[in-house]
Amino acid sequence: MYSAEISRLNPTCFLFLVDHSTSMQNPIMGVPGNPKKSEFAADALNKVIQSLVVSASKDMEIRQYYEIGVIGYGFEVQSALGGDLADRDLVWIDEIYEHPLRIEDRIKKESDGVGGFIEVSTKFPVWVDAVSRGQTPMCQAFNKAYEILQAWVEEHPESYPPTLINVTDGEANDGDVRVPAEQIKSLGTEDGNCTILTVHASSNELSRQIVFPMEDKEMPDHFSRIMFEVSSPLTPRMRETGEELMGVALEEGARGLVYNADIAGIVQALEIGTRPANIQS
Amino acid sequence: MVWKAFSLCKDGNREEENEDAVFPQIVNGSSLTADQFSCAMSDGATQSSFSKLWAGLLVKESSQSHMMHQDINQTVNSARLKWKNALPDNELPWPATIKVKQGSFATLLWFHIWQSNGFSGISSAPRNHGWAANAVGDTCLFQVVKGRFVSSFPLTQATQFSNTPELISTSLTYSRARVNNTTSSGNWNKGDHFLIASDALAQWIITRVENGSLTWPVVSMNLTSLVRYQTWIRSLRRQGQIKNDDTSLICLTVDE
Repeated sequence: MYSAEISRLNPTCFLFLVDHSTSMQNPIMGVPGNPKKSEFAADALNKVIQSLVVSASKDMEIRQYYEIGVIGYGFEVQSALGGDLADRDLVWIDEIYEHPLRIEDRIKKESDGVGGFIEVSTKFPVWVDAVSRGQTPMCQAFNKAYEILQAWVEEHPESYPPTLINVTDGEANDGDVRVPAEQIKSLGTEDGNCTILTVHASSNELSRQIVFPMEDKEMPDHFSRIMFEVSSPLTPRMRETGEELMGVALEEGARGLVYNADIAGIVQALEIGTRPANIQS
Repeated sequence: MVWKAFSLCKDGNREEENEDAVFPQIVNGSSLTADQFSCAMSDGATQSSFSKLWAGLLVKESSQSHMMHQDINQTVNSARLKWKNALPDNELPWPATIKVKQGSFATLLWFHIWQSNGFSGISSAPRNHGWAANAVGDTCLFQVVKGRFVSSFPLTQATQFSNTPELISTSLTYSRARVNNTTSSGNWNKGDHFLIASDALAQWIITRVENGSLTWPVVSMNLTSLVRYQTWIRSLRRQGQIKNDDTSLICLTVDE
């Protein structure tokens, strides 16, 4: 299970759910001066989409290894992709590449090879913008995700199963999200069931980050235990990537949940959830 | 010697996307009468870009430089330079630029066989009727003596195959400073066959040798033509006996 090769014959699907509620306009970790949670989430998503485009890049083309969706939930529940991709629930990765909202020029630091850093200009494609307006209709978003993924697994019965990554800072205020989450986790292909990862952005710098917990008793309260239940156990490949990035062993059963994630935690969790599983040599 | 080489791209890909490379390109069934002969196979990594180009340069450079006479690193460095110069002239799309920076990756198996006058690359190599090989990764060499698979190199057990074989990179940033290669050498007798196979078929051969179910006719009957070889590989894929991957084979037979 979770070992199907990702190819154009058998692509996979990454569906991101992004909390657009009003509280996402507060600074990440509650530290004044930090970027707003919504801005950081959008930046992290744009980076992860960029990584997926690069991993699907082969010579001069972008191969259709992935279908990508980004659903925002706040004052409305709909695709967060804009421009030519607006209102599309799932988009092939080559179309994603072709239709960013814009490409920004940014400066990033790179190693100079002799122990120092140099600043280099880099292109930063933007597909999703920061939004923070409204409530947290997470159940509605999960229900929409269920519809999208149900159709997807029917169409791709032999593929590596879809991965759903929910980026949020709060709890659902439209019902019990465990119900649609269970429905999504019951969907699957011959290679395994859909995987749900939860990235919970921290609102308080003093709150403890909990990374890929093994048991719900590690969670501090009822709300976080719901998140634990919603999240799937990490797949073997995700555990492998997690171990490589974090340098700590992740046992079988570790949940795909980073609670009170700080800036690094959000980036790391997204990478662990999306690093292409099995494009063979 | 009689030369045969076959390849089949992975299902779902076009033949021009086949990233296995073989050198030299000789018509199947050709007789080779030279006193010594070099050939090579390389398997370009799917995840990297321009790896078909990289694999092609590695086999050409290694075969033409008679690699064992010089440091493998010199051969690889020469191929690295040619790879950089051979990239498309026009501005690359941004994902391709990042991929080029990450480098291209491939295995290499270089094989040299001679009749007389020895070979200086490996001190233990025999002076006459000898062979030598140099390998990085999971492309394997097999020697078949009197219908029996007597040796495999560099991998000897099916469990040694993985999704992360040793590879040669175009980029020094993403690889060891020196190429991590292994060498082997031995004798041959008339009637011996040498097979060089990329990983999918190499793993199948080693597995069958391990469980005692592989005889030379099982392989040789499928090497009578390219169509026959490709039909055989497709059938093994359908039965789930080998993984879906570019699958190549060189067969060198020392004439009776």
